Amino acid sequence: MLCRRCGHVQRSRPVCIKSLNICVQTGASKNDNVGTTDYVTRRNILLGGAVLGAVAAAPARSVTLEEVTPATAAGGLNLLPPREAAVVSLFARNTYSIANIVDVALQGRTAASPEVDVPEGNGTGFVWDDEGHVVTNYHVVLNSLKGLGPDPAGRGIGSAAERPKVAKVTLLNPTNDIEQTFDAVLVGADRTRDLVVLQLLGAPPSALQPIQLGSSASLRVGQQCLAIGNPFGFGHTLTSGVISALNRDIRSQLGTTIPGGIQTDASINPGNSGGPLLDSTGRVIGINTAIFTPTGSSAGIGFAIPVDMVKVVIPQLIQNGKVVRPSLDAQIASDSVAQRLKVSKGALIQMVTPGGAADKAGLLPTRRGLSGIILGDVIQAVNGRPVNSGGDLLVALDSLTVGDTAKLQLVRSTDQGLQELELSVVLGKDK
Amino acid sequence: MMMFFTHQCPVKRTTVTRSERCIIKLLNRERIAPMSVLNDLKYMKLFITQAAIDPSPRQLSSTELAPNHDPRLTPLNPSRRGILAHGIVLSALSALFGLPLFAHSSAAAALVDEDIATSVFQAVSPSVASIAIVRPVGGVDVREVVGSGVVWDAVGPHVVTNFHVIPRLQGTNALLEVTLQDTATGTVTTLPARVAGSDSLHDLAVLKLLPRAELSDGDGGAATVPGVPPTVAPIRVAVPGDLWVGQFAYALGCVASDPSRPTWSLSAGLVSGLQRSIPSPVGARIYGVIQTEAVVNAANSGGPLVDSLGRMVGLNTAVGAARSGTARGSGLSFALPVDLLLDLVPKIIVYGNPYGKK
Repeated sequence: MLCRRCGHVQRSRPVCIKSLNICVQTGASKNDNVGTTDYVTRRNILLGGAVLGAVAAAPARSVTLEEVTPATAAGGLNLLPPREAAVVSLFARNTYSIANIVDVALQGRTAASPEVDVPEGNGTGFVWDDEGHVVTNYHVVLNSLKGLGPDPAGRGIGSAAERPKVAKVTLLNPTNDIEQTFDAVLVGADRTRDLVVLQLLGAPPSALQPIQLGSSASLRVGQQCLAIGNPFGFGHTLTSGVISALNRDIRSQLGTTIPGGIQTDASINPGNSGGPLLDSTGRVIGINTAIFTPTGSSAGIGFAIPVDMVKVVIPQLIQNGKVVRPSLDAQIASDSVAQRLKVSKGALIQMVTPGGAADKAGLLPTRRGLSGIILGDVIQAVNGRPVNSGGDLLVALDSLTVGDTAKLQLVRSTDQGLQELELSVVLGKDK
Repeated sequence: MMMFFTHQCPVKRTTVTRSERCIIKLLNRERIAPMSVLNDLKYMKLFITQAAIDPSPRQLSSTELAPNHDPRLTPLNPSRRGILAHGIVLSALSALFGLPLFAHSSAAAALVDEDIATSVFQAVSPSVASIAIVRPVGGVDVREVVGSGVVWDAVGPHVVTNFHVIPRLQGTNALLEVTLQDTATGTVTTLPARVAGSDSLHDLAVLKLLPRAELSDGDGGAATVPGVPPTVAPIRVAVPGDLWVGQFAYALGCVASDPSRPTWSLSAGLVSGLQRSIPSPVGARIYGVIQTEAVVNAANSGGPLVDSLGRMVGLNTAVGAARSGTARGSGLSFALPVDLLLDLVPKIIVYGNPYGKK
């Protein structure tokens, strides 16, 4: 029979000698922690039957610590396959450029509970240059920016003393591998593209390791990509995947649509946003911004803003605090509305702001007629560049500036049927 | 979804209980509202759940426990969005040949060298065991797989697994059984086991395999000849500290719903982070945990995490998900580091507890 407490075989008693509180076999006393309380109970006891043979049942011999400690096999970085060694060194290089960003408006809000690791940050960013500029997503510091009023981008203009503090940024120092936290002030914000630039206060140049930027023009589906971020607060987490698709429209958390997005299946989770998407050489090809998921965590579909768009936006944010975009001053129908109205190709104009650029050029919106809805002008090309959807139009306008004249090729619905037109529009400012 | 349950579930049953249908409904409902979120505070809470199945029929996480899941068998409905598997699962059916019969390669596989992955699998899978409990239900022995284990030494032989994998046994008629490969004969053998000791604080448990002759109902008092213990293949253990972020890690598991036909599985991914802390089953925290992208689920919980050189660098333990109780992981899986094992497991074997005292 087995002692119910320590699992060793007793010849005659089912439990240890209570008076002495000492197990006959092992000498364990009652209060010793001898492991779990879940021991295997032999069916034999319940069958009320056989007593196990003493020879077979007693522990054969006690083992020593040396016998049960296995010999360890040596390895080392030089024994790793070259592909792995490349990834290891890529991470080791780039981890110093990754910043852990905590929105100051959120500090002290989350209460720790046992099953949850207290998040150390709620977003990721990376060091842009030697001056201490850190780039991240707008929605990472959204709560702080909301508190700055209707035009947070404008508050970034001015001397460093006037700029509002919006985040605490933690960096890993490349010289001594110590984590340092700095205050960060807002330099510029672009809500449309979900990008924001912060500047660190008091960061010594030795703590800054700017990241290397790549190019997103020549990306191909199937290319490997790596993401470094702080998912769920776990700092400096490396995940990998491939580029699943290109030219996706990202629906950002702020309600805007960012065209030209890179879709990847590297695990992007809450906390990863604002972090870089790197290619296999370690250069930034995108900024992780959104995921598409039913559960709130990674389902294998993540989206990143392409770095070419970032390279256009960030210098303007650093210089001016905001980005002035050209606009047609017209509302373009979303994909679902266009589909319902049976517009398969082109950007459909839904509404036109009176007095705006499109109105002055004579573009017609979607309006109601006697026989039903009359479709507005459908833009087919901008300056010769074909436009297949609203997202394409945004990408096409991105390359132009305010005041430029854009030649639009349209298809207009008239009483005589569809008419092809070409109009010139002087682009106005995006509000 | 029902078909998925009955074909892939290792528990031998043909009906689905009402509570399981509720779970199916919940899983179905989740798909209806995909959304684009990142850094939404609502989803920042990470639920780290020990990757295990509860053998009681109420809770079943069959979506986790699908070692033979070949996506070609259950075609994805194209209107279901957001359900995409990530990570690889290479499963081999035969213990003897170890040939990869199905290869479901997702994007993470692109970084993994196939030759290395297959050779690691062939080299290490003899050291991975399947742990099941057998309980008599109405006169019939029902066998339920609870997880995997890794052969630690040949002296015991001892099998190391997670504490949460072993269900509550005291007061029940259940027996633990371990299925593994006997390297002397090349066949699969199933042996009874008892818990030699455990450390619930670090989520470790060590089983000692018992020779089969012990379980026979002997005559009263007669001494039975002790059975010959099997020749097992203890796993090769890495030197502690020899792991870098960016290295590949392979999580192995073994499921033997039929004791004579175990299936070994492999999933691969990068080591995402080191020195993490996760909650332990008793509410305290375990430190120094390895974070990996390799899929850890109930099938390979308790199994080894191995590097490209075939050495064990960790013990698969837990998975992090944004929603509590979701079977889907989010690319965050956790494994106990090998220095913890080298420190605690010998003490658990010798003393029954990790403190080194009897």
